[in-house]
Amino acid sequence: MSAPVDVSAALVAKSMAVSRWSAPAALVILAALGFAVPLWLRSSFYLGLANQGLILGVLALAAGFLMHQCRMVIFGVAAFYGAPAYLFAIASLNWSWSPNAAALFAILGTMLASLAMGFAIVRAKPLAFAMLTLAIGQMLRQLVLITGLRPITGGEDGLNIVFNGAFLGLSQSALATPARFWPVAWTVVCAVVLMVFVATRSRFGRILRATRDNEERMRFSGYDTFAPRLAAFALASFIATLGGLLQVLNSSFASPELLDFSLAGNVLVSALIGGGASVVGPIVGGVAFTLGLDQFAASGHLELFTGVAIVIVIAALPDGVEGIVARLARRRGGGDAQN
Amino acid sequence: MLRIEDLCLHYGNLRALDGIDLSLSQSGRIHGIIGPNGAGKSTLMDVISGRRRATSGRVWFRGVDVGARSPAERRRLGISRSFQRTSIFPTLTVIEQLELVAARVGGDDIEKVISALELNRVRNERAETIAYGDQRRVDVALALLGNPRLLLLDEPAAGLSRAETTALFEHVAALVRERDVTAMIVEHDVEAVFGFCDDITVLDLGRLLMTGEPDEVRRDPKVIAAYLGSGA
Repeated sequence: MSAPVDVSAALVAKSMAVSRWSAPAALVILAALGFAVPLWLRSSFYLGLANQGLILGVLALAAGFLMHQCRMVIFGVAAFYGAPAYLFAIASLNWSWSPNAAALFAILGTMLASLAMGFAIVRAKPLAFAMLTLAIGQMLRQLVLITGLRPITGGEDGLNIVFNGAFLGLSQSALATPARFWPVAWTVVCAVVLMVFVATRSRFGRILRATRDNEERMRFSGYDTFAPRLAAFALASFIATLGGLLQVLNSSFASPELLDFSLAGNVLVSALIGGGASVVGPIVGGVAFTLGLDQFAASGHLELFTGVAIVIVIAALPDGVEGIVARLARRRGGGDAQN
Repeated sequence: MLRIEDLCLHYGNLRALDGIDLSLSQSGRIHGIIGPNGAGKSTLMDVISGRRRATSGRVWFRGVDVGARSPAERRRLGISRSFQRTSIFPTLTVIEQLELVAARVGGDDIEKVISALELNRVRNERAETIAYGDQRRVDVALALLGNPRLLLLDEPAAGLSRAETTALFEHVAALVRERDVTAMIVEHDVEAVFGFCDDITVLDLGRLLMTGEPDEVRRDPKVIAAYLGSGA
């Protein structure tokens, strides 16, 4: 009598095990295939756009992670994008540091500043938090424009960087070549996706979601809610910093535009297009948004078409591209929807 | 266990708590707090648990003045609470949230709590999808984890039917006796309070009217006048 039940239970268990591993397996396959993109996308122009899309996707992943896990909207994401570019440029030009040392300095310097910033603002209520990040980003933009600092920051003109050596074996011209830069950007994308994937599925992720759901109950359950929020902010800052570093490695240029608040709009829209709740969605959103911007710019009505497209996409895809994928997967009896 | 000395909480001219003195020394008992709306019942819970800071007075718990301690610290010391409005983690499953809280408060009693509060059939459901009565029990379960020494339940039966209320109070009473916990319950359901509580404190307009056993409280003229009415 018990045999059929056992077989059925075994099948269910096997199906659950397959389901549990399907998402990571798909990510690994996707990561491997991604390195081959330059083999079939031969156009330097479109590969260059795709590189920019990846960078925007990295920023969108950072913003989406904070938005979904902590309900914290970061309007000042440009601060983490522009700051490492300037630090890299200053270390390269003023101190003649090698690109590797300058990159490390850029990451550490930005992270130190973001921790100090996070310490001051993560306790704030969501709207106040969003506006504080915006204010800090704009303060940074004004800082680099101060006339007295022009010898260091380049003022309105920004800083053209000349590398003193190679970055991880890649010369400055190689990093400026889309096909050579792609593996660097893709490696960073894979790394940050893995980071967020692990973070959201770990106990840390559960603590963040519980704090987002009900911070008061967390405090009355013996939890300190400040440290996890600060850690989440630091992780998002770190990811966005890597995005800024990619940008400066690719363009060899740091300018006040990198610190402009309008970047936040592109980043948040990319996160919404891809689906801020997922790990891959924001990357897809970043690439799609960058390609879309290029097409709309060619039409001569960039803002108009961009606005219409954003409204249509968000109305039609409230959970982003990731939402469609998740629905299809559920229909086929596939993977778990991410929290 | 718990000693409250001359506790006051004022909002301008409003005296939400006005010189409350109360002592709960015996464990394994349920202490009810009753009184009309605005009497200060939930405010008293809030001050004991650290949700609000008293204007003056002291709260001693197991010999420690906890007045300046955060809610998280009080929880780790053994003061636990549920809330008037259900306070759970909606997007986590029942078992996920119980595990999360148990990991912090050192509880290895999740299965016992699940079993005692009959939450097994919803253990893998997201809390936002389960019935209201189950959500109330999850709220109580979160408070019970980690073997707290003082359990504060703020209207645990709010919104529940008579049968659900009785069942919940029976579960709580059994757990309190079994674990030798002191429970303090604010509840408007007078029948449940008089049926399950060992002692009752009556508050009115922020002042303590009396403390005593249920029969004593039921017969007290001041309590009848202020809260129970002649039909009680």
